[in-house]
Amino acid sequence: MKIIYDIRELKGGYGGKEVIKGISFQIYQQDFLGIIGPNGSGKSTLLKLLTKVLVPMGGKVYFESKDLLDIHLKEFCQKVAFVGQETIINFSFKVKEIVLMGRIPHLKRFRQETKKDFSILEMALNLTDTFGIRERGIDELSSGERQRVFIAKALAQQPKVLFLDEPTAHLDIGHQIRILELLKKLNEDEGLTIIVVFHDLNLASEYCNRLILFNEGYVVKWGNPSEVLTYKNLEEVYKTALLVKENPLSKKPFVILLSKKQCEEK
Amino acid sequence: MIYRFKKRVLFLLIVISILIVILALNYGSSPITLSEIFLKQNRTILYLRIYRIILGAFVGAGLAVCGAVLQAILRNPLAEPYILGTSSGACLFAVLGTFLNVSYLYLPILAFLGAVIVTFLVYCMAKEDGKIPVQSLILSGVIVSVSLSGVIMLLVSLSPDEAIHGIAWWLWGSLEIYDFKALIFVGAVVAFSILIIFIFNRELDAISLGEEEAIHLGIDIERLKKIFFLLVSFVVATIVCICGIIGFVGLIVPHLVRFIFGPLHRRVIFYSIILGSSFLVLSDTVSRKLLAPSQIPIGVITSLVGSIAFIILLKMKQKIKIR
Repeated sequence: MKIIYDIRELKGGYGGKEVIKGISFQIYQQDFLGIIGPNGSGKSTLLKLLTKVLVPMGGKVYFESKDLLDIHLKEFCQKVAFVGQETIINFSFKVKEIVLMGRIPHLKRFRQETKKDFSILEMALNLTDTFGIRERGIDELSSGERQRVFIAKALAQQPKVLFLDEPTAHLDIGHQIRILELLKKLNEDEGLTIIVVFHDLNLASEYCNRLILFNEGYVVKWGNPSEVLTYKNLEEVYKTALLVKENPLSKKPFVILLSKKQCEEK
Repeated sequence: MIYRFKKRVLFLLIVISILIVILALNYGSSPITLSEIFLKQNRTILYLRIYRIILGAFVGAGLAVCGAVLQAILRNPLAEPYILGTSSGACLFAVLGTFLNVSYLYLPILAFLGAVIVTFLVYCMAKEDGKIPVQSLILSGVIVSVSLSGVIMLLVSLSPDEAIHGIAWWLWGSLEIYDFKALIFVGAVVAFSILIIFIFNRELDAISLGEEEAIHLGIDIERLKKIFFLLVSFVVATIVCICGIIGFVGLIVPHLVRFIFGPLHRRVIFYSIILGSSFLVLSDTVSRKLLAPSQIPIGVITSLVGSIAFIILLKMKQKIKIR
């Protein structure tokens, strides 16, 4: 399998303080990679280091065998897209205007959007089921709709790799599943490599083919869900009582949280 | 809403602009009306009025576009061209010049110098290892403005009576112009800067989604912020040194334009030019006509009209939200 990202001894953080303290792993083509770990363990920082928002303090990141620092930002953004946590926008852009902004990395200066850009816009709207709301203002939408719009914008970039930072954080379970099903479809049908930061361990277990468990800036475990989501690993990292069972249908690990009382009775 | 009738609205705006120009040609401090102004003996007055209209148009367009740019890159709806302290620097030096009896011919040059020095100061204060965080930029701009206006107040209170009139002129703004060279200077700076800003209209759209969002769309935001900071400061310094401080145009016009034509910057810039220039020429005409033969400072008119327009806009926005 082709390696897309090769991360070696990566260190990084903000204002001189290291958050990521020397990690190494690889991301393969068409991975559906979940990044899990407690708050403040450096998940979002890692995404920033991998998408050229932050410059590493040490170590190397190779993207398609090239040093990330040597790749021009615009060229990089033609291949890699990012969907953040809830984005606050002051101006009431229309949905189609925001999605069309995904074409910016591909446009040359002084050039208007061409027919091709508009057909990509339409495709992105259709894939994310936002075609019907394309004329609405972004500030009139629900969180679930807004998240799909931002995924559509990322898809309009026609990326090979899609990063998402807790895309389902503020959504109800119905919308969570809809977003993740969409990502799974993109992963399987379009061959998109997807890297997602998760809080919900069970969703991560269900949808990802590979997981990275993070703690205090180090990788605790890297592998498929049943290797990573073990009682021992999770207790060590989250310092909380839990049970790991097998989902009877998908045969993937399933994490059950316990209250203190239940734990004592056990 | 009005959005759908773009072509008709544009046509209407052009008609209104032409009417405003005719109105501005008709009224002036001398009681010469449109029918007489084209006569040979009134040539000088015609030229003065035309200069004034052209200056008003350039200044209005410049302020409105700079306001729109700053509101986008600072992501702050209250941003306006004077938020970076440029104007207070110009004012301080102009007042200082008046105080020290420098000839009024050299005041614009002095003001420009002041604007440049203070802007540089604000920039250095906000800078943090090669980057300029927008929050620091807003804060240092505000702090510098406030402290300098303290100094200006002090100078004004120490000045003899006859000097105060000249100082007030800087604080309230005026479109009086006698020098063709100054007009060319303002026109060239504003036109050049707006052109560059327009070239970056997509970058402005992206950066209004947030700085990180813009990076993910392949935009070098630190370079972009520096370019815009430089351009806006240059335009504001030029305008302030010729016309003093004319408030509210740079704040209200971009909001009005976004409300009518949506927030995409290629439209925001284009319509800010049209609305900004016609608003300022109209305000100038009203300021000359209202209590003729004495003139009201144009800043009084723009603030009054601007704040009323702002309140109406706010109420309309609220109504739309409720619906």
